[in-house]
Amino acid sequence: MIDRRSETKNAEIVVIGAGPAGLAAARTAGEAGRTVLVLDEQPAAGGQVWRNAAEVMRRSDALARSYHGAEAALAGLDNDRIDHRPGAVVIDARAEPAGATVTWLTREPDGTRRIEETEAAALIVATGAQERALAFPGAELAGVMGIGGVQTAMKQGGLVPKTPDGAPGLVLAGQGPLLLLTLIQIRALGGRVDAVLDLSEPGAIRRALPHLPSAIAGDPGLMADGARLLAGAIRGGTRRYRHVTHLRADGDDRVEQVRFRSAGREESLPCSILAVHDGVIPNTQVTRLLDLPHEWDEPQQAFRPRVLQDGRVDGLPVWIAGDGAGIAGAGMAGRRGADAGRDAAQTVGGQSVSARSGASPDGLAARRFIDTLYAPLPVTAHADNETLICRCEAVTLTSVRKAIADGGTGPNRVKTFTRCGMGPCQGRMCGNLLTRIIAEETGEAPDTVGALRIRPPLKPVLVADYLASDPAPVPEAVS
Amino acid sequence: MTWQRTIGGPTVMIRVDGKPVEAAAHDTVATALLAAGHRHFGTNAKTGRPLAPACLIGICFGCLCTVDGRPGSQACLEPVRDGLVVETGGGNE
Repeated sequence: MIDRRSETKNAEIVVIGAGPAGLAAARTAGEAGRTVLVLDEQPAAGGQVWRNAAEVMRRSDALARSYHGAEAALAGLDNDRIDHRPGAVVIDARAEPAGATVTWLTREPDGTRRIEETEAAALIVATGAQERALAFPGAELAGVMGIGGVQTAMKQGGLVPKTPDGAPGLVLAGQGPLLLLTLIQIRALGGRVDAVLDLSEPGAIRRALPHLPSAIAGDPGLMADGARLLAGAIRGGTRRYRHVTHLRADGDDRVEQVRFRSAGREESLPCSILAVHDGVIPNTQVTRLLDLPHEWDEPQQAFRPRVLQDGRVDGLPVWIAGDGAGIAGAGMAGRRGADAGRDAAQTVGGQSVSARSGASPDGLAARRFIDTLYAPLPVTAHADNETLICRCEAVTLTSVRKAIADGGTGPNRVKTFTRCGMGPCQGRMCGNLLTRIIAEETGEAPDTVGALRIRPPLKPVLVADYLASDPAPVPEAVS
Repeated sequence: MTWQRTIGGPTVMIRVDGKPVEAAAHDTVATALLAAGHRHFGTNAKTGRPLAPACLIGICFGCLCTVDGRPGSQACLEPVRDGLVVETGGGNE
C-alpha cells in the first residue's frame, strides 16, 4: 500500500498562517535551528497585507507602496528547515503541555486534498485579522462586500471596480485607515468610487484629540502615514457624505442602491457594489478551537486570546502572534512574530536564542488615538429589528433578542435556540455581533457572556478526503 | 461589467459552467469569476437568495462553488490553473 503521507515530515514547530507574524515566527525559529512547518490557507505567503506579493511588486507600483518589508519577510521562507504549505487548510488542533497536534488538509498539485496529522513540540498561531461585521438591512445581499474584500480583489487579480460612465458603480461606507487606503488605491489603478459614506460618530474626533500628542510622539511614522492617507483621500474629490445614519442596502437579487441619512437628509444612491468597513478584529477561530482563555478588548470591541510575554499561552506550548493576539497592525505583527518564534525555538531547543525584537507596548502608542477616532460602531448603529445578524441562517436581530429574553444568556444557547452561527461560516461573521448583543441585552460583561464554541472541523471536509488519506484518521466530527 | 482588470501578465484557461473563461495566472477562482462578470456564485440554502463573495479571504463563505468536482470549495482560496473546472449555482449547506 502506498503511504500517501510519506512526503510530510513532522516538525518541531507548526506555524499556522503566513502573514507578517507567521513569516517572522517561522524565519526566527528556522534560523535558530528548529524545523518548522508553515500551514497557510492562502494560495501564496504574505497574508492579507502582502497578498500576491510577487505579482504585485512586479506589476503594480500603486499597490507595491504598501508592500514595504514583504520581500525580506518572504525570503525568510528560503530555509531548508522551513516547510511552507500554501493552500493548507487546518481542520483541527489540540494542545497539551507536552505538545500540539494539528490536523490539516493538504493541497496537492492536481488540486486534490489529503488529510495530514502533524505532531509538534510547539504551535504558533498567526491567523491574523478579519473585518468586523457591520449589521445593517441588506448587508447579506450579493454585491455588498467588505472594503478589505475590494482591496483583496485589487491585490489578487488587479481588479478594480469600474463601470461605464453613468452606470452605478462602487460606494464605500465605513470608517478607518483601510477605507482611506483602498479609496486611494482604487483611484490610482484607474477605478472609480462614486461616493464615500462616513460612518464615524460625530463626537469621535473630539474624544480622540487628547490622545494625539502621545500618538505622534510614540509612533511618528504610523501617524505620518495616516496623515498622508487622509490628505490623499480628500484630494481625490470623491463625493463624501458625513454623519451617515440609517445605512441600508436595497436590491432584489443583488444590491441596486444604498439608502441612508446624512446630516438629517434622506439620500439614496444607485450602486453595483456597496463596500463597508468598521475596522478589523482578531481571527480567533483556531484559538477558540484550542479552548484557550480569551479576554475582551473593550476599545476594539472584540475578544483576543490571553497571552503572556512573547505571545505565549500560559501552561501550553502555544504562542499567538500578530493581529490574532489583538489588533496592532502589520509592523507590530512582524515583531511579535519574531518574539514568538524566538521564544518557541528556545523552549523547544532548550538553548537561548538572540535578543528580543523590542516589541513593547510602546509600539502601541498610536493605538489609543486610532481606537478612539475610529471607535467600533454599536451593533445597533444601523441595524433595525429585521436586520440579519447571522447571514447564513437568516437570523434577525429580533430573533436573537427574543432568544435572549427566553433565557439564551450565552452565545451557545442563542445558537441552539435560533441557529445563529450554525451555518457554513460557523459564526465567523456573526460571532462578534452575537456576544455584543447579549452583553447589551443582559447587562453582563462580554467576558462573562463569552463566545461561540468552535468545534472541528474548522473548514468543511469531504468523506473523500478521509478515504484519500492513509491511514484514514478517525473523524471526531464531520459536517 | 463591474470589475476591470488593471494588472496584466500571463493567463490560463478555466471552464466555468461549461464555458471557457480566461483568467490571470495569479487569480483565485473568485477573482477570475468576478473579472469574467459573474455576479452570483451560489445560493443561500436557507433563503434561496443568490450569494457572492464579501471578504475574499476565506471568512464569509459567500463564494462557495464546485471546483474540479469538489463541492463547497471556497473560490477565494482556490488558485486557478489551466483546465480547472468550476460550477457555480450550488447551495451553501
